[in-house]
Amino acid sequence: MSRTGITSIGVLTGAAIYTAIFFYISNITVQNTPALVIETAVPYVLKERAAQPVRLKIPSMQVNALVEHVGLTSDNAMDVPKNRANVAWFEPGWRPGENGNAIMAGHYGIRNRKPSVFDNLHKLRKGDKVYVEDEKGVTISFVVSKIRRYDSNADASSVFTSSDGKAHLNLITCEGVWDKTAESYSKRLVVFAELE
Amino acid sequence: MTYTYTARNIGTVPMTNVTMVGDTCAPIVLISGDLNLDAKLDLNETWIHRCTTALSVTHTNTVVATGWANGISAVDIASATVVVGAPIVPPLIHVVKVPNVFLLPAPGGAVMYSYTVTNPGSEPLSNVSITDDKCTGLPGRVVGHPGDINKNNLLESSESWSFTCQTNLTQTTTNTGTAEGTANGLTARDFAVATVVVGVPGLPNAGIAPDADYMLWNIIMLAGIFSIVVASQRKQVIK
Repeated sequence: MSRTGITSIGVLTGAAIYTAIFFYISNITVQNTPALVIETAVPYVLKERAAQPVRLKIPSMQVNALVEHVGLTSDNAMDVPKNRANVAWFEPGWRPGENGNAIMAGHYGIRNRKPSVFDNLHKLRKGDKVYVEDEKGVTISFVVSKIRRYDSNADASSVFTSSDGKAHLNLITCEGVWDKTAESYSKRLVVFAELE
Repeated sequence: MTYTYTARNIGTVPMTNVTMVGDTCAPIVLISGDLNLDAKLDLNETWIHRCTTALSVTHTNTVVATGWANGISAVDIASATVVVGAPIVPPLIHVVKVPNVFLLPAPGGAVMYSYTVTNPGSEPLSNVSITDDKCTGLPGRVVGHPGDINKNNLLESSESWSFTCQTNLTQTTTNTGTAEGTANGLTARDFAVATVVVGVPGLPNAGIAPDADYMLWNIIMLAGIFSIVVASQRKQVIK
């Protein structure tokens, strides 16, 4: 037998012995290790929720408004603030600063010669700053990324949800033509902002 | 034994249809607090309820308070243990529950709830369990949790035990997680409630109707300006 052949047999034998020893040791280790009984408990680090918003500030619009908490109306629309000088935050959704879409709405229109908080929302431009002060006194800064207009009954999925894993703040108000029968303006103006 | 239940509205909208339901004491009677007698739990109101029962053994009473605002219910649950015949401080347990989404587009989908159970008291808790009334993936009785640092199956005040549970939702759902633990022969219990809305809400109708007086005023103003312009042009023609 050649030297190469002997070497090959040696390598193969060595590999076989090594493999056998490895499995033997592994088996002993597994059998003798105490097993933890964890059925469905999954370790998970729970992130603290962001604090709730108390004030919205938009310096370029001279807006410094209190935040009301709202939910849904009986026809499954986001509710609006009770006070025209305030804004409404959609409480069942994300809080400003959390990874998701925090939504705030404000009134548009003049009554008794008094303006509403979002009368000038259409004047915001990409790059403008929007600030939210939370209940702990912390100010969160957002920057306007885009402005869109929707029909009043349009699908609002892109306003209320996002999939980019980032923190958004979307501001909504009305505009367009007043429909006396429907008691609603024809359009909705949405300003999209992202966490700075 | 008289239990006193104090309900406050920590949101920003008055709540209607406020109910208090106890598991072992009835009736729960509203004693005071509805200052303007409008049957709404307003932000500046504190409603006091009471319920009286006889106790001969140590007992834990649990009450569920529910209120409604803007089409969504708010729920809180509280419990109180009365120790009969022994100077023992009841054990404490706390659970926080957060869903990974708060809003799911129709027709719904998977939601992952995360729970963190802690012991704010001083006595280590044994027989710790975690359950949820609408999510079945939790272990119930917990054994060998990775957060059990000293591996004694007791939840100590320095430890934090976390869990997740996934379920599919097809409609707006409010569910309640319950954590329990035992010490000194007493059971501590805490609850955490979370609501996930299924179906994207409609855009809000935040428009204020144009003021009739304001519109009339604008018309008068425009008419006035128009009249001045016409008059000045006539003057120029006459000259």
